[in-house]
Amino acid sequence: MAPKAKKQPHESLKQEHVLQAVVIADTFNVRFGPVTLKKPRALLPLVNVPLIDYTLEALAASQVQEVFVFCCHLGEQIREYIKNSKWQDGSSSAMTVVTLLSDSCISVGDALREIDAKSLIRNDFILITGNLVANVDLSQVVEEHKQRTQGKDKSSVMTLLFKNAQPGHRARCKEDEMFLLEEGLTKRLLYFQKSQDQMKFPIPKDILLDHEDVILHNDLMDCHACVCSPIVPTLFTDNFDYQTIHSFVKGILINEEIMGNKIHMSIIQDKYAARVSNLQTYDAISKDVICRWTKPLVPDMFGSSSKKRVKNGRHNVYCGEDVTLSRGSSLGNNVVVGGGTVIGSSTTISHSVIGQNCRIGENVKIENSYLFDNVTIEDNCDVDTSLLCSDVHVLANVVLKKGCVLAWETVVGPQVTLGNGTQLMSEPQKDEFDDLDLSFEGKEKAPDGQANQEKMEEQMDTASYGAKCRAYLYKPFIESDDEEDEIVEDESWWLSATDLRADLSGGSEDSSDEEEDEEDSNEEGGADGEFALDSEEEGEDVVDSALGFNPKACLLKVDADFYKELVATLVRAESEKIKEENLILEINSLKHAFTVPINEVIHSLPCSFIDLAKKLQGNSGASVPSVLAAFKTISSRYSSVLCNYMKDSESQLTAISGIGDFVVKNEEYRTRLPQLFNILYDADVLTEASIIVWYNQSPSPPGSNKALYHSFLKKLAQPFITWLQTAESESSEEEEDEDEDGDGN
Amino acid sequence: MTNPGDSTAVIMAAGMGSRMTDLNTECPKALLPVGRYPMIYYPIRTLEKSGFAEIIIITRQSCQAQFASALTPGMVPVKAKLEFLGISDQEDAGTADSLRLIADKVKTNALVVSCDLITDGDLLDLMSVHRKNDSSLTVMLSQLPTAITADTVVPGFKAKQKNNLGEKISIGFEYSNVEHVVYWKAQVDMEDELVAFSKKFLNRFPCARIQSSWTDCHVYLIRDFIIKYLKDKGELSSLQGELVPLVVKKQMSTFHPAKLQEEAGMDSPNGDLKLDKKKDLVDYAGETCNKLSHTIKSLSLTSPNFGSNEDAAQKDLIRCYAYRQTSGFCVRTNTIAAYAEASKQMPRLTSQFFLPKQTAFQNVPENTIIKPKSQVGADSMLGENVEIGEKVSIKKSVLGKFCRVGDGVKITNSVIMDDVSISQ
Repeated sequence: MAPKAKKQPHESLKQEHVLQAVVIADTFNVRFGPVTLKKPRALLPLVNVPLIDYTLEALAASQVQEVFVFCCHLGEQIREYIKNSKWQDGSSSAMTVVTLLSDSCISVGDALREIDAKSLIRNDFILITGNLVANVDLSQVVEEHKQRTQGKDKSSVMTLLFKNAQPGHRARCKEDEMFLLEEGLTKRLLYFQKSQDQMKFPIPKDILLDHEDVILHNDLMDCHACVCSPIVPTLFTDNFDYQTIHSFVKGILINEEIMGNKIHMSIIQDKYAARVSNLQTYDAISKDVICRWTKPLVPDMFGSSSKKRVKNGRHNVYCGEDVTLSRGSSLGNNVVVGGGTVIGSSTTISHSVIGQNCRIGENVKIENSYLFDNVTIEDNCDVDTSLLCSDVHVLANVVLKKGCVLAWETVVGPQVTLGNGTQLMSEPQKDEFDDLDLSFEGKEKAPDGQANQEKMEEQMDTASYGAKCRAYLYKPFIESDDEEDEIVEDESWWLSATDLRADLSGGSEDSSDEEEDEEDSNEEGGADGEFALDSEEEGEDVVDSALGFNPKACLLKVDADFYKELVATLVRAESEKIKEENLILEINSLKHAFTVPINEVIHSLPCSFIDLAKKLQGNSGASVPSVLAAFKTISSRYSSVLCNYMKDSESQLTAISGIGDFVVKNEEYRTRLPQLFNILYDADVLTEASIIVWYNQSPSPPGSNKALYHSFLKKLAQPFITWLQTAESESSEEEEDEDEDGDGN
Repeated sequence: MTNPGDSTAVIMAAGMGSRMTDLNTECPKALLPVGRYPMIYYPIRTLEKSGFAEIIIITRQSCQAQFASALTPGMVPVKAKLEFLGISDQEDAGTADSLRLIADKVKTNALVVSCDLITDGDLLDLMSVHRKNDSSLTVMLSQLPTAITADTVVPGFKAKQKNNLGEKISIGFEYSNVEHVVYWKAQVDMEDELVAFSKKFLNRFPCARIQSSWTDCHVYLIRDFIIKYLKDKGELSSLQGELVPLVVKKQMSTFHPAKLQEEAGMDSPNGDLKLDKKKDLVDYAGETCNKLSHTIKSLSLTSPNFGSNEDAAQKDLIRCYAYRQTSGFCVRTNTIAAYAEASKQMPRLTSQFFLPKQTAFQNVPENTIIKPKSQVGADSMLGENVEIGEKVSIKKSVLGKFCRVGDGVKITNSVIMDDVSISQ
């Protein structure tokens, strides 16, 4: 299947055409959190070499002659870097590198439109992001594309490059999970779907009917590299709604019959290609580089412009020049140490990358971590699975737990412990979008200007980050809706880096997904000031003896008037047979009338439907089973309404907690919690994944009201969860679910 | 006299021929003549060639005698020991019902062949696929002979013949092992606009190749536990329509030994019968391999799940593979079109089906009476005692026994059965 190496001399071709490449040195997102605030991602060092060098090297190796590097965010830095790099002196390669700067671009589509406006493209060209690490010969793909366009498939506009990677591959980026269909013989792309966490992937049946040979791929990873026909920038110009390559691909596929344009694909089988798209893949790819999968792009053969020699020792230990290893210090497997670094005695380092000119004190333990240049770590520190940018200073006796990110020039310590996933930066966070960040409640909000500077100094949390710290908490921006299908995931790279060891219970890759989601929801819950499930405000210490915890402290306070009105609306909707979409409108208007947050609406909805069921069954006199039966019919009838509010896992979790609160309040329903779940599950309102995520949540600290409350509900829901987990192993087709129902109830 | 691989060979001849009703009002589908012999002779011959010595033929009770007389050694050169079993004449009996009848006779595998299969494929190849992969169910697939799909001129009503599309099945094969069948869906069953694949499926088989160019030859090699399951579960009636998709789908299921024990513990020792309704196919599969074989599997280097976690062996209990016949001839004479095609192909294929000593078989038997100026093409086949008049030309056609063809008749692309008179 792979494009087999045809050793045809390309000389004849070269003389006719100049092979061009466009490098988009920006990814238009903030996956790297605080790290990319000061330095563009393309310049981040990956194993001590700026990322863009990997990309340019891959292009040079593919005999590309002209490269346009398109930079937006902090583009000056990239231009400056390339100006002084080996790419410009002409000695190391015949490739000319031109940097294009644009501040107005907010997407790949914009960049291509600009390129079209400048009409820089003359032939088929390679479009690539500035964070690709690859040792593939792209010219073969270009050749393949050329043969296709000159041969029978003239309408092919693009050949997408994919890398073979089984599900669970460490370099597979969770955000980029996708599912696609390829036509067997022609390698044509038939269908493309980003697969986030849905359990089913519907494809139009016509694809199966019309094509005799279709290959279903879930084993691919998008390299974000493609070979485009010269028409592609024009197509972008014609369609202003094409923002990303993905939206372009989708657009082409949908309009295939009208426009006649086709997209083909090429799969890399035995070479390396991966994209540094977030911290998790940064981690995975760094390790691949150290383990020499990317040869010749390995530390000892491929350096940055500074022509320093790197020595390669056994067990993948690489040392630069002038490294000072004190007595008693040890370097474990897979370690890269940059030139000029001093490592103190009794210090152990393993599976890590240390930049140049770092100072590491005595008795320090560094594991799975990445230190950029000029990092200073003082004595007795413990760094685990963390990323430390240049000029970070970690004072003595500091423990960095998994997933810490310390951005440029941050100082922490002495004698503090940073929890999992702490992201710190040396300056207070600025709002990039001034009016957007309402959720920060002024605490982290740092209006520009010197006047507030002192105030901010005060807010520097010396208690958590040490007496001499210069550190501010970084909060990820909640991205606005303009990027349609981008879903912001929190950086929980440390989980995937270690889940193989830590995850004893599940073992399957799904569980790491769940953990991640769980992490998300926990953090969201913590960050949102309004959604206070916390117990601190309630002074009463009434512990319900039957429950073993204080119920009042845990329940989400719901506006009683709103709730009453909501139930009334539902009753009216039921009696007047109001259409589902109108009901949604009514509920929305209620939300505005009572100014309740959306969380609360979602939280109340399941309960209000149960109340509706109660009312239909003649209110209080009704027996629990009959109410449940009514609830079942109602929820299947209004499932579209419920689904409208509970689309993603977060809102589903809210809904589940709503049901939880309901059963805590209504004693007679406590034993019925499994049925309630089952009903909503059958109505396709709640997905299996989110129920499991909810179930696996563990509110901290253990022993608190919240934890007790959760474990109480967990116990109630146990039967349903067990059923779910056994049913999960069955095929998820509907007819079987029905078979299984008997067991479940 | 034993069969290869201790398999039980079964020929399903109880079909009503619902897709060729015009032809089989008088005699059962399986006894319709194709070339010189009844249709059912060909699967018997194929089985014989693969070394099967005992063959069970399942017919309808009413036709049993007819079969027995048609298949006496005098009529057809059959060597294998044939055993006839009749099923009741009820309308709704399907292939799975036929199989239930012989459930007790199956020791290890049952090789189920349809009576309308005419192929030169070697069933031993199918059996090696089965054994190589330790398969639970192996099906034989074949590329459609292009002649049928494309431009055969078909006797009968045009509209009726278009049901070929309805027979198309989308079959998914694992990309790295194309013999492994992972997806099976008849295209007529795709009612919705969307066909959904579950995430579990995609994670289990990350790269599947779905092809619709294969025809199911209705040759199945079935493990005993599936037949046991079939016997206990009453509702399945068709092998192709229900059992095969079910087995393919159940490859995803996991066997829970604990669950089974628990259930068994609740009932008395012979509680198995009561539990049958609930028992899933995978449980049957689980029973066949004990703990030891599980350990062997997880430790074996050749096992597909070597080195993976311990549960893996429990997941791979049901396996469905396919023998994909790519060359040669394979046709199911279940429609008039296919029947006509098969009959016409017969002259070319005779050598495949007849014993070596008969290879010098003549398409025109000696006792044919042909009057002058008539031509019988080499691509035609005549039955015994055919009389042909003057200036007759016969091309690409098959004539049955005792036919009389008048003067000046032209026959092309036709199948003419026994005792037909065509006058001038």
